[in-house]
Amino acid sequence: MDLRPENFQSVAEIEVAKVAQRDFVVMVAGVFNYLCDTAMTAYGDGSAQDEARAAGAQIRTNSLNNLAELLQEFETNANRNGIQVLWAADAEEACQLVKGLVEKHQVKTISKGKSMISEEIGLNHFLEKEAGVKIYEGDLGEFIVQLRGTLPFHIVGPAINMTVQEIAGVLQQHIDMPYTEVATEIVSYVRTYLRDKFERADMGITGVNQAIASTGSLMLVENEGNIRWVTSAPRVHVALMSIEKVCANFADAFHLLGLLTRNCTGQAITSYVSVLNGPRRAEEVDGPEAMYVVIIDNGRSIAYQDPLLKDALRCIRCGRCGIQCPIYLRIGANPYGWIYPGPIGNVIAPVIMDLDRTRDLYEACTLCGGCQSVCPSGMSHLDIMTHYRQMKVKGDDRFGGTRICIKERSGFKILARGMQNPGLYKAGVKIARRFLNQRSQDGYITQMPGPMSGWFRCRDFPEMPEKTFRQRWQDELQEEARQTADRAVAHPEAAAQNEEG
Amino acid sequence: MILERLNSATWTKPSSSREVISTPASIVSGDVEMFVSKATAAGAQVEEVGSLDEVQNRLVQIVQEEQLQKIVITDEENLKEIDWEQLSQQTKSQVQSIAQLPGENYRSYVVEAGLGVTGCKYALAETGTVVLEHSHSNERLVSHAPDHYVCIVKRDQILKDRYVLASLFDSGLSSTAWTLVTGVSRTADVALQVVLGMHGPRKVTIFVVG
Repeated sequence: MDLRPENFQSVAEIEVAKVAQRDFVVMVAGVFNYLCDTAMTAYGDGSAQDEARAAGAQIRTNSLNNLAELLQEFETNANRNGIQVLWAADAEEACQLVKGLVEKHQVKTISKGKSMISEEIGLNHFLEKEAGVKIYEGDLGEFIVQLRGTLPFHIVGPAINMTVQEIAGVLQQHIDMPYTEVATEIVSYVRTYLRDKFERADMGITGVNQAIASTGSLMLVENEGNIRWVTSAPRVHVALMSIEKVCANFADAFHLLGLLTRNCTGQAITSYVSVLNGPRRAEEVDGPEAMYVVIIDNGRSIAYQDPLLKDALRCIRCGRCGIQCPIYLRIGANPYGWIYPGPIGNVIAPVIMDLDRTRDLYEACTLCGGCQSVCPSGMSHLDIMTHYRQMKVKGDDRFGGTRICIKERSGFKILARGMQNPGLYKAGVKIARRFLNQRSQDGYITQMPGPMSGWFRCRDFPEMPEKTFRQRWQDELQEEARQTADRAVAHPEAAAQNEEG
Repeated sequence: MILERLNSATWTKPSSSREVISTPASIVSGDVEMFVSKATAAGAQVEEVGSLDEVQNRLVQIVQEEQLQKIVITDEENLKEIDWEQLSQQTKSQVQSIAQLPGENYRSYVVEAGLGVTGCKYALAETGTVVLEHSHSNERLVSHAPDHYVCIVKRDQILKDRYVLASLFDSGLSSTAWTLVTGVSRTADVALQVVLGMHGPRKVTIFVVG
């Protein structure tokens, strides 16, 4: 399968038929929804939980409203702490910057903490090809999908769709693990295998959960302990962050942390939260000699110009929206064709790729609002996705959206005109009924030639009734009047009493 | 260029540019009982003891039961009250403080050690978390590389919750790194089965002293 957003429909047709995968993912989503709902009760009842989410949304609003100021403040304080801050306009520049650091520090092997932004910019592939380094993902799920060469299935559980047998097969094939289906034995083998890599790696690469502007610190969140290794053992630490991952202070960061972990894995806090303030000092042994933060734009600052699209930058990557989405739960991650599947992919992908390539993503959304209802950062998924649809129809130079063709535009114009004029509407319905019902079979229209064929490819339409609602309403009124008149003829006294009453 | 573009956004920003967020009131009331309960729920074994002498006795038992050969300890003040030489003789194990380990020997020793012992700066009752301030006295991997990690917490180090810690952090950080450790390293990446001891210690014991 060629996994790209452009191939959404063809891949979705394959994936939706995988009943076992779908059932498993739905089961997993149910478990995580229960865990997350339970964890959120730590804030109190429903209104207290809403307040906690509202505070999270306000923190993100403040961060976005003051983004440039906070990033500058972070850079100043990080520099003061001995962290070098680099800026990358796009994925290519970010990869080149890291490559430059690899060469500068004569790096041969790299250990990595789980980082979605590194996946977004295609860093592993670039560095292995262009810099000849060996890269080891430290997070078990990421390590498995790295070996398998597939996209992560979920931003939090990259291999959560794989069975134990599939995982064991991948590890047996790629790192010679003796085949076992016992989870503890699999974990133990990978622990030993990767520990050696952690100890020997020259450079550690991580993402960033929050950059704290007031102190120039980084907050990194994990359960496995790979990030602790990656930020403690290698000589060099490179942290990658997208421009929106900054907040004013620790009060903000710790509140978001609580929302993140409760909506991600249903935990009050993860096993490890690392707060990093700079490279090791002369008298210290653990920690990097040199520490860099690469702040990556990759299309976000253009979205930031738009008062509605800037909200796409609210996301704190908890992944809760994914397990709410009826589309994602049925088709899985592959059709999205990129590293951010589900609602967050629908929101982020058009900003970073373009409106044309990602059209099926934001158009596949049913606008049910499940994602929005649980989002701890106050994102308006529905407004953003309907905005993308409007932009696509009108065309948009900023995000590569091609205006819809003149035939489609004309069709919608005629439709709009007709719906504003009762006479035209009635005439149109008559024509449409005749046209549509000619193709009816067993009461349903299942296919249609020409420009409507796409719509009917995955939908059936009941045949149009002989009478419209308005006609039936008129008939009902006439029938009622007739019955009243008949009763008056048959029982004139009762009718007279009714009239008097 | 990036900052210029961000600054050029024309939508109207609120006049109060750095509004202070009013985070929700403390979620849970913090006390030792809650700390013990939460840390236990996170997979740590927690024991309340009266003194560091008791900690020493329990450590002897642990080292003997697990037949540990190498122990690494941090160079923190409260650990110095434990007689490590005596513990070493009693258990016939090697105990090394990071203060005595030259840099080139430190890494190989810490990854071979079966037990790492540290103190902590704070603890959080809300989540059963120990908060480690890393420095040359408390190197990062002592609490992470050995299979068994022991943390010694004094009762008066237990804070109510993360918001209290945030206010301490916001008043200034001088160390290069801090770690909040809650229970045991874990993963659920193999078909959603929770397995403890992914990349960090397989076992965590916390002694609450006082």
